[in-house]
Amino acid sequence: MNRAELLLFFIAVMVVFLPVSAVEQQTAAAQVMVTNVTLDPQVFMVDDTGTVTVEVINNGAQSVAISRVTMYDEKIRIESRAYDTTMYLGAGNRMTFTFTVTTTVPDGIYYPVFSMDFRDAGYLRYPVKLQVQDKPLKVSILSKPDVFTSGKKEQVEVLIGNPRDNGVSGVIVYPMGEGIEASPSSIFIGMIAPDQSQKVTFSITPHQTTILEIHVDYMNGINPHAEVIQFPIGIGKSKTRADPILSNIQVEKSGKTYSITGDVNNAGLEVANAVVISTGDSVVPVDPYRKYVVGTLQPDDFSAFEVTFTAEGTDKVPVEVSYKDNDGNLYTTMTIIDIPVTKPGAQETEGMPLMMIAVILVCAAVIGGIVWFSWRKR
Amino acid sequence: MQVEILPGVGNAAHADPALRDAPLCPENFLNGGSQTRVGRGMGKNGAGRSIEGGKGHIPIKRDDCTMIHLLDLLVHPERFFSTLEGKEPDLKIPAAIALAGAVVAAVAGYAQSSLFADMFAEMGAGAGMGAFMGIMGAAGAFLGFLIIWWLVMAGVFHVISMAFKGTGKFTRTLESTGYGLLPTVIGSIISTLILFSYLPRIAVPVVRDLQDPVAIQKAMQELMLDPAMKEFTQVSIAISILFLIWSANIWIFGVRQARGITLKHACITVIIPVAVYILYMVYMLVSGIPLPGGA
Repeated sequence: MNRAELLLFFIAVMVVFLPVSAVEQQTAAAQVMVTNVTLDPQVFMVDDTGTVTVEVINNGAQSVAISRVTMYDEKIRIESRAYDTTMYLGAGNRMTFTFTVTTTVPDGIYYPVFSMDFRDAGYLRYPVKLQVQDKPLKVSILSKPDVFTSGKKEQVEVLIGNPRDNGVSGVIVYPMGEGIEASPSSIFIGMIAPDQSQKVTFSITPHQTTILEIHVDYMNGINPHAEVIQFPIGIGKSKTRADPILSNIQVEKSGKTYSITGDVNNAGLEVANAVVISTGDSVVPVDPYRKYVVGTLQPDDFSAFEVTFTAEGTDKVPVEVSYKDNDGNLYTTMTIIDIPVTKPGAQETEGMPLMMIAVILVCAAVIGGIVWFSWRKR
Repeated sequence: MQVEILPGVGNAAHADPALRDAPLCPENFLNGGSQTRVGRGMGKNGAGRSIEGGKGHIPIKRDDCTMIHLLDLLVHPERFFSTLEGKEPDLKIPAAIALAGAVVAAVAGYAQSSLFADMFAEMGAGAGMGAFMGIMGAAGAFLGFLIIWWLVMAGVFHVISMAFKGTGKFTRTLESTGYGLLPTVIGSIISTLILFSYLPRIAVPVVRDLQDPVAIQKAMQELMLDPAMKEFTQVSIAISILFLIWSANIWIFGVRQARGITLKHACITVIIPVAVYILYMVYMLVSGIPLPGGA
């Protein structure tokens, strides 16, 4: 066979076998299918960036040549480039393709298309469901005192709920505010599953009237999000604080010393610790009861007390009741008690009793002598 | 020294031991004749001088004689009352003594009432109340002294002495009791002077509501418990008791003379009420019952 004949034979073989090969390629490509689509996050929020991972498998007995893999959508922005390199997906093999997307779209369900072009065998189109849900975490104040007291630690309960269809991760809660001490400074919750909630409690110690902010930071996929709620903290008198009240007051005076006795009642709803009763600056406390330590007074409990002092030129005595709450904060209440006014006498002259004793002794001696003399003369 | 010897009287004076050393005064002579004094008594007391004219006679003023009497009353009560025997009761000097005591008591009462005036000073009628209380205090003390210390005491002596078949008019008992008040008056003067030294030191509680009897009672109690007040009360009671003992000593001889009873019975008559009063004062002092110091 000469050279010409050999060439014709080869062409003839090619003509005969070439259509048969294209059909085989298409048959093999038909065995490629999408087996799994993974979105991270599962549900996007507006402006979130995430990934869409598509897994394909070649169920056929022949390998498939893939020329290009890409994803596209009119609204969803695909951040990553297409897979432009020709590759072969072997028989029975799996292959995953990941695309980065950004959901700069409103709430809704979108279907970006996963596209796989086969060499000589057409393409595979697979719409991927992508949900965009603009539902942030819900932060609620479960309980807080009606009125805060400066320097007094109060409990604030916060509930963080996840109304989304997917879980969020990396949840951190922390309070902030000017002139506020919080304990703990922050609480890490971590993952909150969809339709689940988590309760956290902070001890808040305000020192001034301010706005308390409860911050909740969390991640939806790789996207950080934050929620903040605010509520005002008004400094005032706690409605539940201990309220020591003096009653059954009796004022007695012995010489220059006044004695005030009575009962101190805790009319509040909290325990009063280290209750001490003393007199104010306008009088001079004296022994034996310069101060009276009552100790702990439970709500509705009472104790007797007594303080002793001297006072001149005043008819009102401030009686101070100091106590501490469970956090050690010191509180004082002042009660003005009327005492009998006394016109002050002059300072005592030292030696006066001795002079009087001398006068009495002299009188006794003279009178005794006279009586004795009058009877002796008989 | 030229002296006259009076018949009868002079002998009687010598015979009575009580009159032996008595000073020479007109009242010492019962017949009221010319008065003179002889013997030892003159030299001893230096008062027994003739009051009639004549060379060598030293005139004695009547006031000097009264003073001598009072000194005799205080020191030699037996001799003093012996000179009154047989004479009609004369209440002038006893009344003067009692009145003097009453005046002193009134002064002390007025001074003590000033404390109560301070007590009510902040009330609307403070000034008027103070003056009213001062007058009431003075009047009460004046009448109280006259009635209790003279009339009542004389009545008590008179009644008790009846048990010992005492004779004699009540006016005579009244006269003796009045004389016996002289030491009490002296004690009252001393107590009043001491009161004035204590008054500035007494702290007075002020009452603002006259309608509140509890407050008034408490203020009174505080006043009585004031250290200066208590000290004055103790001092004044001690002085009162001492001078009352002195008065009792005089009353014993006075009652004996007035009622014509024995010395023993006179002692019983006088000691019973005096002891009761002293015990009452001591009891009040010891028990701490508020008792305003008084003369």
